Amino acid sequence: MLGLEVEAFEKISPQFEGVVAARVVSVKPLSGSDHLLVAEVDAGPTGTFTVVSGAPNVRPGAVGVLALPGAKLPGGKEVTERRFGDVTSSGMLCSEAELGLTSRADELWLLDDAEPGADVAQLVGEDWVYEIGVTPNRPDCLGTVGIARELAAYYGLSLRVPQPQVPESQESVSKFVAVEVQDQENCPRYTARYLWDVTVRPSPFWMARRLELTGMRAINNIVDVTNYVMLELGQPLHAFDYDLLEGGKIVVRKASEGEEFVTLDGKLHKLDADTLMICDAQQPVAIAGVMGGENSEVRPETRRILLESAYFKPESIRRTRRKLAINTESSYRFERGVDPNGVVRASDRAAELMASTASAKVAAGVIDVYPQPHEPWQLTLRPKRVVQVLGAEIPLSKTTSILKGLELDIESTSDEQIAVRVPTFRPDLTREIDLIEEIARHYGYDSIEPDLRAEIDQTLAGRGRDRWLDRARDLLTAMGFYEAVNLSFLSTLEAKSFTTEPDRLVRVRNPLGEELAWLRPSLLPGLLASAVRNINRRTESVMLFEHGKVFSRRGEGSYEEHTALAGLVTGAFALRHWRGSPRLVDFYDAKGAVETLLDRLTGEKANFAPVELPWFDLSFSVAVKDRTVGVVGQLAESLLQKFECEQSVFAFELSWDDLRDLCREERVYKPVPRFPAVVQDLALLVDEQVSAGAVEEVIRKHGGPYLKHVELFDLYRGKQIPPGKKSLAYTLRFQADDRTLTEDEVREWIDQILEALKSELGVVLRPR
Amino acid sequence: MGQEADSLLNDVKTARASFEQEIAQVDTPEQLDQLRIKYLGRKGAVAGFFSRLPKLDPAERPAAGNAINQLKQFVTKAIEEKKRSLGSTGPRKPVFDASLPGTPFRIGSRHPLLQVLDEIVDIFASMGFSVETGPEIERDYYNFEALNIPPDHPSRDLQDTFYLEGDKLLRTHTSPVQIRTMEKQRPPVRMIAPGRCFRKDTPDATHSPTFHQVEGLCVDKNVTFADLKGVILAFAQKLFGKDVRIRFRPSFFPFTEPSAEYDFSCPMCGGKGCRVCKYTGWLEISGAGMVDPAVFGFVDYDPEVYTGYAFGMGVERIAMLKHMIGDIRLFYENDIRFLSQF
Repeated sequence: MLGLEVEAFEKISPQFEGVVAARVVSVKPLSGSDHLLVAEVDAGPTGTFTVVSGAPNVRPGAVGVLALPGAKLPGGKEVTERRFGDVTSSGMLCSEAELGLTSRADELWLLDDAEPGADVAQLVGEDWVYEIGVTPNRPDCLGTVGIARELAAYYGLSLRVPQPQVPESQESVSKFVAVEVQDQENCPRYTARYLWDVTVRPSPFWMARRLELTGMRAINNIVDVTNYVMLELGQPLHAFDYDLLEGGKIVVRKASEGEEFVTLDGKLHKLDADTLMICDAQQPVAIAGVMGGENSEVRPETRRILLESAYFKPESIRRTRRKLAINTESSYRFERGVDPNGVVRASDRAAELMASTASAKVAAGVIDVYPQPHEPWQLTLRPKRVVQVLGAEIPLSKTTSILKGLELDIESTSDEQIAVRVPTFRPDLTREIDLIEEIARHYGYDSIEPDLRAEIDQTLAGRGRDRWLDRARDLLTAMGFYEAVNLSFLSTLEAKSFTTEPDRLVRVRNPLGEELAWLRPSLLPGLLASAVRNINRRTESVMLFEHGKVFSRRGEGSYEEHTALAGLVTGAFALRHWRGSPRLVDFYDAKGAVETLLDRLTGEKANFAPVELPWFDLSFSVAVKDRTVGVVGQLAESLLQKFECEQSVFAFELSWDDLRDLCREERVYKPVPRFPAVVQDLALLVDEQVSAGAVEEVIRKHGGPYLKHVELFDLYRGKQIPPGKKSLAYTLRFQADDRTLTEDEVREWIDQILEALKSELGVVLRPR
Repeated sequence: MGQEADSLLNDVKTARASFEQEIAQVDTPEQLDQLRIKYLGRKGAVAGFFSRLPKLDPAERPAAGNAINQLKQFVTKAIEEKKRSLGSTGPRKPVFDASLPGTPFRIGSRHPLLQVLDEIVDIFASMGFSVETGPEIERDYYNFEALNIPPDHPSRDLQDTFYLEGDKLLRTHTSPVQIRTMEKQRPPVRMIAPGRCFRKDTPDATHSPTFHQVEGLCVDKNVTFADLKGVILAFAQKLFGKDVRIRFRPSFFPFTEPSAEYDFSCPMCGGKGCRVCKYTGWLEISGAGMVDPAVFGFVDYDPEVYTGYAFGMGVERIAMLKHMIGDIRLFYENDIRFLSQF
């Protein structure tokens, strides 16, 4: 509950049994083999055994680990007696890898101080591995000491930190090493130690085991120490082979533009003039804070070490590792900010460990280039402000004890303000509010009671959701459309198929892939893809709609987005029912959906005019009150083929931004008619060239003031209709608000309509 | 009256009496049919009576004919009634079957994700938050800088961003709407920003490069962390029921200080631990905190006078919890077999 999230924890127990410590008594070659040895081993109370081994480090006096016949090893392996010529091997001497403890498989695992016969599983014991998520503001917690500090503060315990004792020799470091920092801005502190008589060999078991449990690889005692200290103190270190450094000199400078460098993972990097480099007297030997070079790497034959511990500017490291795309444990810590005043302690700790594990001699002192030391900084905290932000009264004594626990120096305390000095390992604490967070964290977020008083300024509670969009969504779902949500990204084919201006398409600079490289210029490709997905899954009748942003590019770095509302129909019009198969949908279903929608939203009749768009075979612009709001049509056959859709699809797409303006806010009641209507049907014989729309227009124009309703109820071609003609049948309703109309009155208007139809369109009554 | 006539009328009367007795005992359609033939058939009783009419004195015929007709009508009617009472409507007429499926009205539904989004928005609107929107293509300034995330800040790594030309990018959260709203409006501000966001996540069961967020912001005098906990508690209980508890854990966001992650007690098991909450009793919901004074600096609010809280939440996550949906990709496939469940 401190903000250090335990993401996982695991109990680690030895995965073997029946393995005991055994002292090697004697060793002789196995006759007939050039590398196998026969060893007599003494396993104390368990007895003495003869075993055959091929390991290079079997020697009399060493205490190894013996898996007896019947012992169980990791992976379900069971040890048995084996015969090698005349010799029977009673079990095997094991490496750490064979016991599943580390990856080290080259040598036998030798125990330093175990009693022969002791159970090795017990010696290893159990351990716990915690995986902790550290937020980017807490570089101090990128080492176990930082985590321990938090826990100690929270539980009110005292913290014990390793206090390095470096066994320094008489020889001074300055006799061997010189450091020149040319870029002090990006390298505020650089320290170096010198060690010699180093024996590079595998690390002791405890160190290798801990490193490998944290996911690092044990390499050798020098590299392992640098990693171990980093995990402990959070300070990355680097060990150079001193004999590979020209002139015993370190120069910290920027790379020259285009300079090439091979890092120790064997990769060649081209550098630019912004990259901070560690160099010797001649050439670069490491990319500062990121990775060392192949040319100065510690090798098995390394005898002398230059140990680097430094503070690099976080921004510089971050830029470099992004440009070079190298993420290392080291760069991760430097770019978050290590403690500039913890640099020497880490160096001391590493020197101490190298002295003990590599029997290294350590030169006296540290070269320390630190021209402008960072000092702990002062901050003040007003207890009143704590209440103002947290809404909880926290006693002053609690506040100060929390700050002390976090190793902040309290310089003065009063009810008005507390003055503190912040240690340099907490770069995240620079303002009063940061201290308030520390107090909240350690006081406990759970201890702050929720305040449920609702003091709402009602004049402020304004805008809710777009209720016209709500209405549109209700209408479409009532008509049978399901609401869809598609990704905003399209493939090149999808994007280019649904635009007339390919140069206005918006491309993502770093897309997830070519399939998702473009922002949608239209909602239709997404809806089509969803329809095809449904059809492929045997749902052939699909009605979908979607509302969402569509995008276009206006110019370099300039974009437009607007909200669209689109729908699509394909397959059968109705659901299947035993009374008969439903018909297939057609253009008029898409058109009808648009008409209904616009009528209910705007109270206006939509007008349709032919328009050509490449993704439609047949399409019409949709206008309300002379404002074009969208299109409706039949998706082009050629397009459907490309998207592997084998059935006809009809679709509409409207600009919601335009339509929204036309939605009718106020509705004024119109009286419901009180007097009966006179209804008259007209069956007309119409030339094929004459559109129903034209006929209706003439009827309305000449129908007089009482013609309230014109409805086409039949369209017929075929028997009794001459070729080149069609029959259109209309119901006309006449109605007056103040009286009942007479048949004669209506007759007059009908005659007038028929006359006009004949003279204007050549339309006549269909003969009976 | 002649003897013939007398005898005929008597026989008609007897026939009626015996018919009445016989029909009373009929209980199958077959028996009824036999009875019909016996009385009304070509060689039945009624036909027999008619055939005796010519033997009568002409003056007596009308009365006798009348009596036979009455018998015929009576029998016919009785047989019809009996037929109905036996439930036989005749072999050719179909039986009405109410168990046949009714008309399947075709109606659609709102997308489950947007249903949850609407519900969240309505809850906050009812608590006095106004709904604000902003562009999906944002400027780096609004998405990062004004939220106290300068270039080269490590927390930019937490949000893998899709970039466009120049300083334009696809917003990684709806937090930019906070800044845009505060630029336009002096405190008090109480708003939510629902909408679509983008992060460069490869689609899998829990990640989608397009997702939805609701961001909330409240700035006024005397707005505290306790108020933040209050509003989140009220929201949790309106969404998942009165028994839900909340938990705040410290975290880090550049635009809030103090920052928190907040959890709801698992509404499925009441916090006892179940598969949904992975046996922890808690569901991680999202992040929240007090608006960082640095953010106020960008919109020229005085942090000494005003304080504020902000919170966010992922709509997909809440919808997945609410409907026990295990794969986020279902929301973006638009499979009608999925959509029609909501």
